[in-house]
This record gives sequence, C-alpha cells and structure tokens, in this order.
Amino acid sequence: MRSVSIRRSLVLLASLVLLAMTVPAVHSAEGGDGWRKEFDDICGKTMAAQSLGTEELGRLVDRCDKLKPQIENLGESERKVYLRRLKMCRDLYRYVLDSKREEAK
Amino acid sequence: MRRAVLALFLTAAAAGTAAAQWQLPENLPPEEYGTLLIDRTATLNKAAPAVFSHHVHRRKHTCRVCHFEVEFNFKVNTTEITEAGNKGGRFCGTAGCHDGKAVFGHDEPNCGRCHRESRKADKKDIDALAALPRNRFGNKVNWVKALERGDIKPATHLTLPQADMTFDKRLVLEANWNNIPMAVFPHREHVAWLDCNNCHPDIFNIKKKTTKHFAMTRILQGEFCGVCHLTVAFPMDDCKRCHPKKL
Repeated sequence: MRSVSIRRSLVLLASLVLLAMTVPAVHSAEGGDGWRKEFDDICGKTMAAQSLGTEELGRLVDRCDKLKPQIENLGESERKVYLRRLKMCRDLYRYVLDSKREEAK
Repeated sequence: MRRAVLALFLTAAAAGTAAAQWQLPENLPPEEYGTLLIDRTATLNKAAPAVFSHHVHRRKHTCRVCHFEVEFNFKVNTTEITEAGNKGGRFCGTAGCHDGKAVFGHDEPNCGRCHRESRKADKKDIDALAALPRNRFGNKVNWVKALERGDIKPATHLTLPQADMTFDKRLVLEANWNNIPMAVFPHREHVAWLDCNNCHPDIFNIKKKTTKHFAMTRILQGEFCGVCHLTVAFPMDDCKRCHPKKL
C-alpha cells in the first residue's frame, strides 16, 4: 500500500517536472519567433513606404510601438541591434505619414 | 565689348569666390577613396586600426545591408564596434559576413587582414576596380552604371528582403549661386543602394524644413548629401553629376 503511494507520488512529481520544463519551452518558442516575424513583417515594408496609404502607415507605427517592449526584453545584443532598426523603420513610417497628411491639407 | 569683358570678369570673380568658399577634401588615390581607418579603441588596445574598404564591400553588398540590417552608422568611429561583438555575431561578424563561414572570421591568423596601418588595397582589388565603368573622380568608377549594367550584383539584404522600390521621383533644386545649374536628385539611383530609412527622416527631413539650410557650405561640412558624397559616393569634385547643364 505504502509503495503504491510512493510510486504515485513519484509519477506525480515527474509529471510536474515535465510540465514545468515544457511550459517555458512553449512560451519561449512563441515569444522567440513571434517578435522576429513581426519585426520582419513591419520593417520589410520600408522601401514601399511611399506607396502605402495613411491608414496602413498609422498601423505600422502602432505595430512598432507594440513591438518595442518585446525587443527591450531581449538579450543585450539583439536588443541593441533590433531597437535601432525598429526606430529607423518607425521614424520613416511616421515621417511619410506626416508628410502625406500635410500634403492632403 | 566692354560689357562682355565685365561679364567675364564678374563670372570669374563669382567662380573664384565659390571655389574659395567650397573647400573640397583632398583627393585620395582611387583605390583608397572610401577606405576607412576604424580606430575607436584599436590603438588604445595596442592593435592597428581596422581598415575598411567600401569599394571591396560594395561590390558584394548594397549600402543598406551594413547601414540598416547591420548596425553601422554612416559616420566612421561612431559605432561601438568591439572585438567581443564581432566574435559574438554582431558588426563585421554578423552571420553571412565575417563569421568564419561566408568570409574569413575573427580568429588568430586573420587579424592582420583588417588590422593594419595602411589603406593600400590588394592588387586583385585594384584590378577589379579597373574592370568597372569609368568615372573621373573618387574610385574612378561609375558605380551606378556598374550596377545598372550588371557588372556587379551586390546583395540587397542578409535576412530582410524588401520589395522592389518603385519610387523614382526626380527632384530639381534651384542653386543659390548665379551661373550654377540647378541640382538634380534622382531617387531611383539612390534606392538601388539604400533603404528609404537611411536618409529619411534623419538626414533629409522636409517636414522640419531642414532643406532651407541645404547649401554647399553645409554639405561640405558633412551634412545632407555630404554624409555620403564626401567620403564614399562620388565626391563633390564631380560638380556636373549633380549640377548638369541640361536637366
């Protein structure tokens, strides 16, 4: 009876350990690839910025702002590289957006 | 006759004043133009400065790769390049560059390939320049023509592909000096090398009216076109490239 109870406890403990190991892995896979895909999608449009409409440009600026905190949480190297690039993309979209709004007045 | 002589004298005087005001940087040998000595911390760490040749690299990558995808500022010695960073996959050591796979890496036998005192190029690089379309100044290469003709096929990205640029607006700017033809700026030739965000909004920001200061004196101090056209892209001696007689 006692050995069954110990065995159950061990199985439960092992399950908990496995679960604990899996959850961060899943989380990091989502977070890890997610920011990069979003970054590539946002900054892959800079050369077409002039042909985008004001709504699209506004959405891109918002997406830059949403992505920034995620990049700020990355390791030092990635943070430095991608924050600078994200800023360059955001500044361009903001600039083209403001220029188009100015032209439309 | 007197009027003609007077007009000639005034034109010469104006040109003389302009030349005196526009102090162009000294001309380097063609194979050294655009070659930088990077020395932010090298000599402090008892190493020779790193030599970076634009004409060698621009045959393989467009400007946007290093000045957008890789984190190099336009102004030399303002990027905090470190050996640890290079070895860790940043700066020159970025994957696809000097990572030890694509091109030689940052290990012992290779140090002297970049860290050396002289700007002088290898013979094979000088020969490679000679095979490209000619220009009168800088590297004496017409890089725009070389790209258009397919003599060189530099990669436009390492990891971030971009849509082909369709914006080819050609700007025409009135010159402030008499007898100086208007300046032209073709977007098309520039976006073949650069990303829009390399120039906008930091260097050229029409919204903030920075272009009202758009004068040769400022350009020769390294602002506006002078960011590139003093040290890497064709130099200011090539007046007619920007101020053609016929638009």
